[in-house]
Amino acid sequence: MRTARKKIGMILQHFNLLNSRTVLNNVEYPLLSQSISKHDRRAKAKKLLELVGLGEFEASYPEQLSGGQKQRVAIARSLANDPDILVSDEATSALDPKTTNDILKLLKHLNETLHLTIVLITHEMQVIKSVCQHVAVMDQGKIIERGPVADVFSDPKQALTQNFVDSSANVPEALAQIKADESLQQLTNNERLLYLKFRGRATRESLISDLTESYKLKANILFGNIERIGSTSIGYLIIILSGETKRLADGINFLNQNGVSVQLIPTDKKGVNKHVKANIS
Amino acid sequence: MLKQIFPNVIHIWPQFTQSIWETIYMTFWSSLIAGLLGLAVGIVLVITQEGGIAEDKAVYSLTDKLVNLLRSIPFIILLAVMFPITNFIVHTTVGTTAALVPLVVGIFPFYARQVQNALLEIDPQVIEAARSMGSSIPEIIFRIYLREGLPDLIRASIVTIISLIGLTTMAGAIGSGGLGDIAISIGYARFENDVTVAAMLAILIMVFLVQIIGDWLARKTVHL
Repeated sequence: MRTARKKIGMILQHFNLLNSRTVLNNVEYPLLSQSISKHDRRAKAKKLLELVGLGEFEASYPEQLSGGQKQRVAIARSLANDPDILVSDEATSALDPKTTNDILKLLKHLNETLHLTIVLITHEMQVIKSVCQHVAVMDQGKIIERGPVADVFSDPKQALTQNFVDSSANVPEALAQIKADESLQQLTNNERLLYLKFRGRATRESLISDLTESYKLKANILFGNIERIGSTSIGYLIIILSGETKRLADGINFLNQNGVSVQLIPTDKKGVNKHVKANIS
Repeated sequence: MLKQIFPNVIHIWPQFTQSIWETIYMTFWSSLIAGLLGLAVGIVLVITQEGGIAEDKAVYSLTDKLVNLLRSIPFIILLAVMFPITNFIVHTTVGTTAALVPLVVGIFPFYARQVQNALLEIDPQVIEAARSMGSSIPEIIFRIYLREGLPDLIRASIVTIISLIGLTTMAGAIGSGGLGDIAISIGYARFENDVTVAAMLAILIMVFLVQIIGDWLARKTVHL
């Protein structure tokens, strides 16, 4: 078990550095129980510190460093045993957004240069979108969904995953704001408040302008967001579409056919909703 | 002027300086022996307790009870009770060396508790991290517990040594020599109050010195 553990590096939200030792000694620590000469040990630790960009801090003590720097030391230390896998358990959760980004960049760099498998445990969707290739969503200790990041994010199957993905694009906030806006509740019979999701191919086509040109509909964009995940993009739009009732239905069909998922946002006028829903399905 | 304030101290000056040395002798050797013993017992308590790195209910409960038992015995009674054992170990029952045995037995359980508390201050996650990096139990004891806990161990040692200086004066009751002995057998018994006051001042100076040196050492080991 102890030998197996040496092949797995671990970094956690708490850096768990040894406050009584210098940064260099901290990185050396895992090597102390190995048959390696003091000179080699020191050289290796220095190399690792250089790798994480902390070469000049080798004589500092952990308490003198910032959170991001401490996490870098922890990363350097976790690499000392030449692990095959690096487990990062909420390692960026205690850090500010910029530092989080720097650490993620570092992890990605290590992943690419050292061919190190990194298992990243996080609740921050942004983290997954920016560095991961595969994702598994867990709920109550069970994996409920897994696959390449782009697939899972563009087509979440489970409600929980759906919720995660939407909130990462700020959609729920935008929806809440729009619902709270009273002027938007007073839509006429020829207006529809719609929530559109574009995936993959659909994001590259000029669907909205096609809609306005071919179907003579007006689209008023209230919210928009396009995210790039790996090689695909996902777009979110909240629009008010206005025009003749017949054309509205045709336009929505057109969107559906082109791989856009259309959801009607309910307003106060319940009668109108039912009417359009029939058209969508 | 000193002659007016401490007439009797001047009178017995060679004996007075000798008792200072006797107190230092007793404090030094009993700190050293009880220190090592207490450290070992403290470590045993920490590693064998529930969730410790070498969890062992039987060993923990036995050690824990032994420490409590020894700490419950009033020192003045311990001095008397220890007579036969002292005789067996150091082949004498009077003098400074004879006092070392009850002093060690009296102070090491106290120090063991202090060590236990100091080591429990270390973040359990740091210990867990060391385990996950493949450290063995002795490695964790020497490389993590004793090193990370050093500032607290030094503070615990100061408290213990100061208590110990107090105990050495009590050992005067069994003729151990030292400042306590002189304060009682000369200062108190002969109504030479200045001897008692001088003995007290000498002890206060020792306590302050231990405190100052200890604080300085503790500060040096904290790297902020």
